[in-house]
Amino acid sequence: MTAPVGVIGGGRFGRALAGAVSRHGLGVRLWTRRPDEIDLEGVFVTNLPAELEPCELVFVCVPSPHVERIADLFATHLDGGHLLVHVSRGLIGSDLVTVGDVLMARTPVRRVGAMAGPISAHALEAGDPSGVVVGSRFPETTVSVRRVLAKAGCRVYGTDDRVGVELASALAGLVALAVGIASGLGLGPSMRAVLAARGMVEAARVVRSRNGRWATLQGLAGWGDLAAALLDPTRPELAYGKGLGEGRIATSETSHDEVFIEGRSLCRNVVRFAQSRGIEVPLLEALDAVLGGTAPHDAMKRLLARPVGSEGIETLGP
Amino acid sequence: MWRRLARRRFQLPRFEPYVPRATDPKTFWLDTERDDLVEEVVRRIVARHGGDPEAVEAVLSDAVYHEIQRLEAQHDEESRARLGDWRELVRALPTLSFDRRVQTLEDRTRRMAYDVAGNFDPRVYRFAAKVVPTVLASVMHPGSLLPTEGSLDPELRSLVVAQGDIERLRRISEVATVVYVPTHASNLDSLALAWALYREGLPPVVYGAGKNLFTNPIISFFMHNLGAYRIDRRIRAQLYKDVLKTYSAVLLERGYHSLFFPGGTRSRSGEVEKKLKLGLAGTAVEAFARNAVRGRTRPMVFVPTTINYTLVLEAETLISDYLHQQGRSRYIIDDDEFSRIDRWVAFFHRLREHEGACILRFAEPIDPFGNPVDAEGRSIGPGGRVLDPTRYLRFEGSLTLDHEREHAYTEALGADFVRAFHENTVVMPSQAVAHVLYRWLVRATPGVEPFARLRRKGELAVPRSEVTAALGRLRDRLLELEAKGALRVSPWLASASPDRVIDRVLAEWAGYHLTTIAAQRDGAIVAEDPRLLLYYGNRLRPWALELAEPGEERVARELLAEVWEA
Repeated sequence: MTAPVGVIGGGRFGRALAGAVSRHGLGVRLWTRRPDEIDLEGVFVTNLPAELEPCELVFVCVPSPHVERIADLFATHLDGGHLLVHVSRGLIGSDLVTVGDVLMARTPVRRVGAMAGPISAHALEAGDPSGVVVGSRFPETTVSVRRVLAKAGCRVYGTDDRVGVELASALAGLVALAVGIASGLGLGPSMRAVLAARGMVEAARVVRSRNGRWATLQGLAGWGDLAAALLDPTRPELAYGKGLGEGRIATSETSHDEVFIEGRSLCRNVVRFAQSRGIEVPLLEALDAVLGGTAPHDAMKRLLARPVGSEGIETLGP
Repeated sequence: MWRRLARRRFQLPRFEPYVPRATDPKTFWLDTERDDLVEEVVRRIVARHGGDPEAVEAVLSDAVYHEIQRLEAQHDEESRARLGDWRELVRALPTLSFDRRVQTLEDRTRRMAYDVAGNFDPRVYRFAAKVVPTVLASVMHPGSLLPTEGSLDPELRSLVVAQGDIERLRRISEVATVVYVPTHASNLDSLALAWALYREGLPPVVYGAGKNLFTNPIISFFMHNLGAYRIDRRIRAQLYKDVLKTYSAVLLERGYHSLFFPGGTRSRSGEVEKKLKLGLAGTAVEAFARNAVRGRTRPMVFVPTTINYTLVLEAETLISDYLHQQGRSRYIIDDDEFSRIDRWVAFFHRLREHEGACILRFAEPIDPFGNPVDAEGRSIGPGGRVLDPTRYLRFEGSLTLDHEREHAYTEALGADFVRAFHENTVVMPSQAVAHVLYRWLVRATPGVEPFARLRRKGELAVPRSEVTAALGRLRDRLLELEAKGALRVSPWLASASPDRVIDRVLAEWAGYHLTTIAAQRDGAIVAEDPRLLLYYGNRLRPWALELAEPGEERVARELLAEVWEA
C-alpha cells in the first residue's frame, strides 16, 4: 500500500496542494492548528502531529517565521524514513539560514528538499498545468514529488542545489515585490523589466555568496518564478507590491489574498547580509527603505538617480 | 640501510596460529582473516569489472599507464623490481584473451591488496602497551635509570589526557562498529590515539597510514603489526584507489573498529580542518547500508575526536609548507621532525612535566545520519526517542542502496564532524598566548600585506604586563564561549594565572622549537617568529571576532581577511 502524502500547514497553498494530490487518488493527511475550518474532499485533516507519522513524503507549507516551532513540534514524530519538502520563500536571520537548513538541524530527517517555481495555489486549485523545481541533495526527494504531482499536471524538475533554490525563490519574490511597487507608481513595462533584470543581478550576487549556483537562479526557482509574476498581475507578491506603490496597502500588512508575504524582515535581513559582506544591492536597499516606511516615490527616485555602469554580470560566472 | 629495512614487512615468527578468544576485540582477528579479507577485496573488484571486456581493458590500461609513469619517476629499488613486469604487460595486453585479462586483473588486484592489507599481532600489541610508556618515560627522564612501570604511570597519565564520555564509548564498542574521525595536526596523532584507547580500556582500531610513516623501521614494525594498513599516495592508478576503498569497506562491514583522518592530511595552517575528504567516511556509510540491506543491523558509530597539543612536533615544517606553497601544500612530507629521533627526544623532554600536554577529546558519538548514539548503540532522536537508522535507507517501503543518496548522507555527516571539531576544540595555553601576540602584530601593522607582516621578526615588543592583562581578558572570553558550548578550554589554561601561563609557554617554545618564537627582554615580550605565532594562534581563528577586544573588531576582521593562498 502506498503511504499517504502529508501536508503541514492549512494556509491557501497547503490546502490547494492537498486538494490537488487528493483529486488524483492519493491519500493525503493535512495537519493544521485549526482542523475545523478546513473541509477538503478526500483529505484527512488533523491537528495531531502523530497522524502524519505513516506518511513518507511530507510537504511543509508554513511561513518561515513559524518554521522553527513547527520543526520542533514534529521532531518527535518524524525520522529518517520521511522526506520533507518545503515551499517557503523565507530565509531566517541576517545569516540567511534557509528553511531547509532549519528542518535538517531540528528534526532527524535528512532527506530534505525545497520546492519553488511558477506553481501557485490558484494553478493547483484550477488544475492548470504548471511546473516546479525541487532542490535536494537526495534524488529520492525529487522522484517522490514528481510521482505525486505529475498527475496534477505539474512538471517537476530537479537539482541538487537546494540552497540555490531556496535563495532564488526568496530573492525572486523580493524582486517581484519591487516590480509590483514600480507598477503601482505608474512605471511602464520597459522600466519594470529593467528593474526585474537588475534585481536578478543583485539576487545572483547574494546566491553566489551563499554557495548557491547562478544557474539555479536562471531556472524555474528564480527567473521562472519571476516571469510568472510578470505575466500575471494577480500573483500575490506583485499585487501586494502594486498596492504599496499605489498607497492602497500599508507595509504593516503581512499577507495578501490569504498568502503570507515574505517581505519586510526578509528584505531587511538580505540587505544586512549583503552589507556585511560588501555586496552591492541598491534595488533591494530601496525596497528595504519602502518596506521600512519611506515613500515609494522617493525611494524610486533615489534609486534611478544612481550612476549607470557596466551590467556586472560577467563576474557572476556559470 | 634503514630505508631498505623499513620497506620490509617485519613480522614475528609464528609456529602456531593465534586463535582469538571470544572476549578478544575484533581487531585480534585481523591476522586470522587477512587472506580472506584480501580475497574478498579481489572478488568484489573483479565482479565489478569482470563481466565487461571494455571495463577490464580500461582499468588495466589505466593501472599500466600510471604505474609505469610512477616507477619511472621513482627510480628506486621498487622501480627495478616492478617496472619490467608492467612493461611486459603493456606489450602483452592487446593480444591477451578476455579470460586472461580477467586473470591478470585478479592477480594485480591481489598483489595491491596484499601490499595494503594490515596485520595485527596480539603479542606485539601487549608488548607495545608495556614498552611504549617506559620508552616515553625514559625519553622524558634522560640520564635517570629506567623507572618501573608503576612509578612512571601517574606522570604519563597526565601527559596525554582523554576527555569525553569514555564509559559510553566502552559500551558502544561492544555492540557497534566504531569509526574514530579525529582532527589531524601531527604524525603522533595515531600513536596518541592508539595509546589513549589502550589506556582507557577501549579496543584497538585499524587505520590507513601513509607509506611515508613506515620509513622509520621501529615505528614501521609496530605499525605493521598493530592494525595499520599502508596507503601509498604516490600510486595514482584507479585500481589501487578501488583496492583501498574496498579493503576499508570490507573491514567496516565485518565490524573492525576503524580510524580515518577526514582532513586527509595534517593541518598545515594549524587551524582545525574545515574542508574534509570524506571518501573513507563514505565507505563507512555505504558499509552500513550494505549490511542493512543484507539484514545485518550492527550499528555504525562515528566518534569525532579532537587531538590538541600545546606543542606540535612538526609545527615548523607544517607552517613553512603552508606559507611556501601558498596553499598548494606538498602532499607528502617525508623529511620532517617526525622522522628525526633528536626532535622526538627534545619534544618529549620539553613536555615531561606538562599536565595535559596533549588532550584528546572524544565528541558525542553519532550514527551515519548525525543522530547521537547511546551506550547500547541505539540512535537517539529529539526527545530521547529511539530511532531506527535503517529507516534512512528506505524508499517507497523497501530498503535500497543508492550511491548518490549515501553520498549526500556522507556530506551531511561531514558538516556534523566540522561542527563537533569546533565545539570540542580544547584551547591549549600556547595557542592562547600565540593568538594574543599575533593579534597584537596585526594591530601594529594595519593594512600591511600578510607576508610582509610575517617578515617583522623581532620588531614587535609588548610590555609584559600588557600581554598578561590581554591574556587574562582572552581567557575570560574563552571561558564564556566554553559556557555556551562553542569550544573547550584546557583545564590548566583555565586555572593557572596568566603570568604562569606565559612563563611556561615561553619556556616550552624555547625548549623545543629551533627558532625562538617569542622571548622576554627588558620587561617586554618580543615576537621573534611571527610564522609560528600564526601557526599556534590559528587554532583560535574561527572565533577571532568573538575574541576581539572591545572596539577592536577591525583587527579581528583584518586577521580573518589574511589570505595566504596564491
